[in-house]
This record gives sequence, C-alpha cells and structure tokens, in this order.
Amino acid sequence: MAHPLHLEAPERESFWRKYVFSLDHKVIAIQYLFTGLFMALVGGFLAMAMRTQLAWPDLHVLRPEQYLGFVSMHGTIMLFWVLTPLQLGVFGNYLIPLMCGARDMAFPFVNMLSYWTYALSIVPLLAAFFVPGGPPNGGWVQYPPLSALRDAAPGSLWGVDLWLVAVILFCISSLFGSLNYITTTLQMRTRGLSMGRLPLTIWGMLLTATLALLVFPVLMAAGILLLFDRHFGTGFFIPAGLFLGNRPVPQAGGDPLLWQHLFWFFGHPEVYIVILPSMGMVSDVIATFARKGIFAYRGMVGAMIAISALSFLVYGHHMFVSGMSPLLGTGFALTTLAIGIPSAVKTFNWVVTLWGARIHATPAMLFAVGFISMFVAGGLSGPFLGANSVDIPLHDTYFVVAHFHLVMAVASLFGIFAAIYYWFPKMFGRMLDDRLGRIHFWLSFVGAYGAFFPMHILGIAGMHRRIYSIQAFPYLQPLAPVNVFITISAFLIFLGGLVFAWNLLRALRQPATVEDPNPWRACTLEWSTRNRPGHGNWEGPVPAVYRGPYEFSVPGEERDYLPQWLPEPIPARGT
Amino acid sequence: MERAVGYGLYWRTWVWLLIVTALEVGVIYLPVARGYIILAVVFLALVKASLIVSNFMHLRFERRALAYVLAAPVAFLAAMFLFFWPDALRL
Amino acid sequence: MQATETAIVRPEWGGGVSPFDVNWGKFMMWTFLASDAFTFGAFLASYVFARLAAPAWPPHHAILNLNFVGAMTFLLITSSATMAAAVHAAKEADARRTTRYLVLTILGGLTFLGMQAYEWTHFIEEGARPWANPWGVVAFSAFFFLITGFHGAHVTSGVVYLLVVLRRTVRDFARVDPQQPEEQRRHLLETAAARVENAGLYWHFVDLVWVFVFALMYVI
Repeated sequence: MAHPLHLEAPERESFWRKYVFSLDHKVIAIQYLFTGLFMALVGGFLAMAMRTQLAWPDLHVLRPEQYLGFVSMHGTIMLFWVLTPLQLGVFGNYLIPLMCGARDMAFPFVNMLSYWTYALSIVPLLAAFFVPGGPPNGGWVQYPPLSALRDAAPGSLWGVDLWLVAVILFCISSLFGSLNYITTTLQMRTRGLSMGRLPLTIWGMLLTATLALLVFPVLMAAGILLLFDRHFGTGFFIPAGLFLGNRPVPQAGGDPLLWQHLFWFFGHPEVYIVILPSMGMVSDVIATFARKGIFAYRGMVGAMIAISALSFLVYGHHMFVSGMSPLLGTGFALTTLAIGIPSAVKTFNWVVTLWGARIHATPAMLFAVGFISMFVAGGLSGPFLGANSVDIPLHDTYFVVAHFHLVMAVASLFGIFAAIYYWFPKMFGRMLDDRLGRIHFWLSFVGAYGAFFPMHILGIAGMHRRIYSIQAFPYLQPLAPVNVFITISAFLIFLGGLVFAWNLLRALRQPATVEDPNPWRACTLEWSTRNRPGHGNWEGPVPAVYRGPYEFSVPGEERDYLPQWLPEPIPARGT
Repeated sequence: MERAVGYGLYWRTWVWLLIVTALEVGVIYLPVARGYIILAVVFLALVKASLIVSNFMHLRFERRALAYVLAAPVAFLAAMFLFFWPDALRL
Repeated sequence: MQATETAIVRPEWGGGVSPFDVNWGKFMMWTFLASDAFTFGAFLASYVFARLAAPAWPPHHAILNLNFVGAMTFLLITSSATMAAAVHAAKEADARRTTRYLVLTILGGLTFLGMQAYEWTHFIEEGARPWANPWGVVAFSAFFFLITGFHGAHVTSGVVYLLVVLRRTVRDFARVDPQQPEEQRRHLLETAAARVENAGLYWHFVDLVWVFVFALMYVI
C-alpha cells in the first residue's frame, strides 16, 4: 500500500522522476492536460474531415468505410480520451488536493499509474488507423453483431480489437484515478473543511469519480464479453440464424440487446461523467467573476447528487428503438424526464447568481456563461428525446447529434476552457492573453451554434446521423446548403481551437511572471499558495478553513471577498 | 471501533454460513414451483452475503456512514439486474 | 519506494472528523471492491439475461457435481473464517496466531483452486468448451468458463496478495522489540494489522462473489 507524501527536496529528483514518472499530482495533471489537448486535436481533425465530406461530397475526401471509421474514432476519442481526462484527469488531479488542503493525492503512485495507463491506451487506439480494415465502423457504441463478427465490416477485422484493448486499458486507468479522487476528497480535507464547505468543483469531481468508479467496470466486462465473442467463438451477443453474405454465422444463442444494456448502463452515466465536473468548475468561475456567492449552494449540491443517482436509472432512453421491452421503455422515459428537474435547478441557480451582479467578462467568465447557454440550448431538446413516443421518429437522426453535441460535448468543452483560462495562472504562473481568449470564445460560440443548431432541422427532415453522403437520397438534396453552412461553422470552432493553441504556446514561451497568488481574488483554498506550487503544495503548514467557499460581497465587509483560509474574527471588520 | 469482537463471532458466522449453504442445496429438492425455489435461493444467498459483509468484513462495527455509502452501489447493482430481465423474457 | 520510506510524513488528518473513521488504505479497498462488484455484477447480470432468454437450459445439476461444488464452497467459507480470525489476531498483535491463520487461509485458497482445476478438467472432458458443448446451449459453458474463470483469477491474485502480506507481516512482527519506544512499536503493529485487514477485505469479497456464483450458476 503506497503511503503518501514523499516530501523530498526537489533538487534531488532526477529529470525522469520530476517530469515523466512524477508522483506529484500537479505534474500528472499537466501531463493529462497536454495529452488530452493532443487527443482533442486528433478528434477535431476527424470531425473536420467528416464535415468536409458532408458539405462537399463531390470532393470524395473520404471513402464510405473510412467515413464510418472516422465517426467511431471521433466519438471514442472525444468522449474517452478528451472530455473525461481533461476534466477528471487534469482538474480533478490538480484541484482536489489543492482545494481540499492536502499535500498530494492519497496514493501518488496509483495516480501516476493512472496517467501512464491512459497514455498507453492511446497506442492501440491510434494504431487502429494503420491496420488492415482501418478503425472500427460501428460508432463509439460498437453495437454487435457488426462489431462481434470479424467479416461484418472492414473495421471489424482488426479495428474493433484495438478499440477494445484501448478502452479496457482506459477503464483501468479510470479506476486508478477514481480511487484516488474519492479517497483524497473524503479522507484528506484540511481542518475546518467540512463537506458543506467544499467548493462545487470538488463536489462535481467527487460525484464524477464515483460514477466512473462504478460504471467503467461494466464497460470493461462488456468489452471482455465482446473479445470472447470475437476470438473464442462464444455467442454472447450473436443471435441465432444470422447470415453474413450467404454463409450462416456459426455462433448463435446470444442477444445483441445484452450489449446495448451493458453499454448504456455505462454509457449514460458516462455523459454525466463529462458534464458534472464542468458544472462544478463553471460554478466556481461564475461566483468569482460575478463577485457573488453561488445562489443556493445546498441546492446545487443536492441537484448534482440527484443527477448522479438518476444517471443510473435512465440509460434505457438510448434504446427506445432497439426492440427493448416497451414496459421498460416507459419507465425509462419517466426517469429521464425527472432528470430535467435537477438540471433546471442548477441552471436557474447559475442565472440567479449572475442576476444583478457586477460581472467581470474575462475569457473564463465568457466560457462559463457560454456553458450555461449551451447547456440550456441542448438541454431543451432533451425532453423530446427522453419521451419514447417522440424519440422513435427522431432516433438516430441529426436531431440527436445536435442534442448531445450542445448539451454534453460543447458545454463540457466550454467548461474545460473556462477552467483552463481560470486556473492557468495557478498552474503555470502566466496569464493567457485576454484578447486572444475573447477571439477564441466568440469563434467557438458562434461556430458551435452555427454548427449544431441547424442540425435539429436536418434531423427533423430525416437525415440519418451516420450517413456518408446526402446525395444517396433525393429527399436530402435540398439540405445541401444547410450542410455547407454547418461545415463552415464547424471550421470556425476548429479555428477557435487553433487560436487557443496559439495563445497557450505564446503564454508558455513567456517567463512565469505572475507572482500574485490570487489574481482573480477568489475564495477557495488553491489560491492561498504560491503559483506553480512545489511538491507538497504549501511551503508552511496547510491552512485551515474557516468559512464557505463563496463568501463574495458579504454585507458590512470592506473587502468584497473573504477567502476560506481567512481566520475568524476577521481583522478588517473595522468599527 | 474494537467492541467485543472475538474469535467466537467468526466461528459462529462460519457455522451459520455452512447451515445456510446446506439449506440452499436442500431447497432445490423441495416439491414446489420453480419460481419459489429461485426466490428462496436468492434470498438465502443474500442472507449469506449480509453475514459475510457485516461480520467478516466488519461493516457492523464501522461507522454507519460507510454502510450507507456502500448501500448506494448495491442499490444500483440491483437496478441493473431488474432492468435486464424484462428484456431477457421479452416482456 | 523503499528508499523514500524515511521521508514519509505520517498522514495528517488535521482536524474535523474523517467521515468514516477508517484509514486510507481501508477506504480505498472498500472503494475498489465497490468497483469490482460492478464487474462481477455485469457478468452475472449478463448470465442471468442469457439464462432467462434461453428457451431451455441444460440439466446442470446432472452435469456439474453439486456435492463437489458444495465442498469447494465449504472450503472458501472456511478460508474466509480463518482470514477473519487472522485479522483479529493481527489486531491483538498475536504474531503466532496471525501467521497460523494466514497460512491456513492460503492453503484453503490453494485447495479451492486445485478443486476448481479438477472441476474444469472434468467439465472439459465431458466436451464443454466456451464455444460449444454437447448439451445444446452454448451460453451455458461459455458463461461457466468466463465467470468461474474470472472468479478463479481473483482467488489466484488473492493467494498471491496473501503471500505478500504474510511475508511482510512476519517481517514486521519480527521487528517488534520491547526495547523500542512505545509509539514506534505501536505504529509498526498498527501498520501490520491494517495490512492484514485490507487483505482480509479482499479475501472476503472473493468469498462474497462466490456466494452469488454458487447460487446463480450451480444451485438454481
């Protein structure tokens, strides 16, 4: 059992120990950051290729099976290798010990293993592009029998194997990470930091880690079953009487529906895994730049807990057209609609926090407000898809693509960008450029609405979500200009990403000059230590906590914020 | 934490586990409908599980909070089983 | 990790109350077991799904010897009891009994594995394979090999884990010296007891899983 806190003098650490196989949660977070951003670039590139194909099918940028491979890899990379690690891996790692007042994670060695398993899992994943048949064709959901039979599709030859190995490795990495995040949050908080004083970021991370802890094993189990079907001749997911071409498939006796149950039992909590940390981080950013405490802190925590608990009970809404029991479908529709309540509680609380505030429109704040905007815009189409009767005509159309990109993908990406702009001075001792940040925001914001909003129309018009070329169907021909518009908007998002990359590189090339440990005048504990803290996080003793995380503009106080580590009674109380 | 937990508790638990196991095996020979047998076996398995968790794994002697926190995953696991079977039966 | 052991700072629970009043290692073990329960839960739920969906199920009572499996269950439960006794002995700093019960537990685990190997051999000789069996329903043998194999892998790693714990416990108890300062001695004993306890949690979990494997795959 690894015991924590190896407080060695930094100069004794070799290069490898310090930057590569580091046990310091902050270094591991930064490793996650750059790996995740690299994967985001890969995933974004795939999206751009797909959009080009859809807008200008005559160019034949992609072959059909290649297009489907790109669809699968874009979804897989973005969900598993970008959104999950960029939140839990980067900010969970960086912020949990700092915001909880711990010197490091509970198990630094396990933490390092988590990153390196993640890094290792990228190898088989990207290798899928270079094997015969290319990457898997079944989408990120990998429904059998397409994925279970090696001859069913070009990508099923090798691609699915590599995909499964990569995903199973990722599950293990996620397990290592979650163990640390949960144990650290619950067991290592500093004196005075009760659960009711935890920043919402940490609440989000804690609940996310719990979800990840409990659902990734299910995906792993499903992956093992699928590997058995592919290599040991079992038929867990292969129904009887299946023909491939003219040949009957030898395996039988299984049910593809079983995979869907297993996958979505994992898959639905997964979408909360990518949104809950953002919800937390955005709350922190909004409180700081509105100079107001988060409205209804307890309500926010309760809503997050309710969302996490409900996320286990709603997964069936992904399977309304699968032939699932209609009895079950109605139950799932009810629980799905119920999840709108805590989501609305959160949204209203953010809006009320912003109401009448003196808002500082920094790039971080712009992205945080953009998060709310995207979450609402995407969330409103949720009830359509959650009610089974409406979902059936809309299922697997671009309406779904619009919904989940707005509410989950873009929203959590905005949350991540808000967090990067906000915590960048703490992580690197430098500021990201304000003007480039604004350009980045407006390109992303306009691009995201331009790209994803018209997709609702495409979906209602009947455009299937994995279609390779709209030329195949005459009724889709009139939609060609909409697709061109969407593609141009998508390019804007990518351009925004490049502006961000430029901003990042530019900032990192400058010397670390930001000495002020609390440039945003925020209240939470990570701002009490110097920027780029050393191993051990605080040079002196760990500060104790005396108050809640969002004491901004407290009536009767001279200063407009009271940090958590400020002792009572407050010296500046005056008369 | 260390209340009067002696070796006696473990031997008693051991004996009970063996008795319940014997009951499990015995119950399948009862001349009743299969549904009742399945219910009985599942119930007995849950009895064994709770004996192991509370006595061998000491959950009885931990803070209540730990038990409550662990109850949530158990509930979600039960939900998983409940969600799966209507589809298996094609209800 | 050995070299840095001197630089380790004792975990400081600065104030307030640990919500569960357990040490970190124990909490992490519980968390890990919750996670592992979902792996087994997913396998068993899939098995139940396949069993319910199958139009007929092979006469498994005739194929799998229930008495033999009952003996395996008896062994695993007994090893769980001796493990609990080892944890108790370790908490009482009773080196002799800790070692004895740990050895008994390991022997129980090894015998279980041997019996499982025998059972598998027998089953394979009757023609069962993951991809086919003489009784018609493939899912029967496929899930049998998958789930008992996965459980057996857990028992195997449990035995390895217990061997490591045994070695380190013997070493730690040998280090205890009445001339040591009281605090140092207590720390040594507490660490040793915590290590045995965490291993115990894992071992009981393996037993716990077997309860459901036994009930769902053999008895019903």
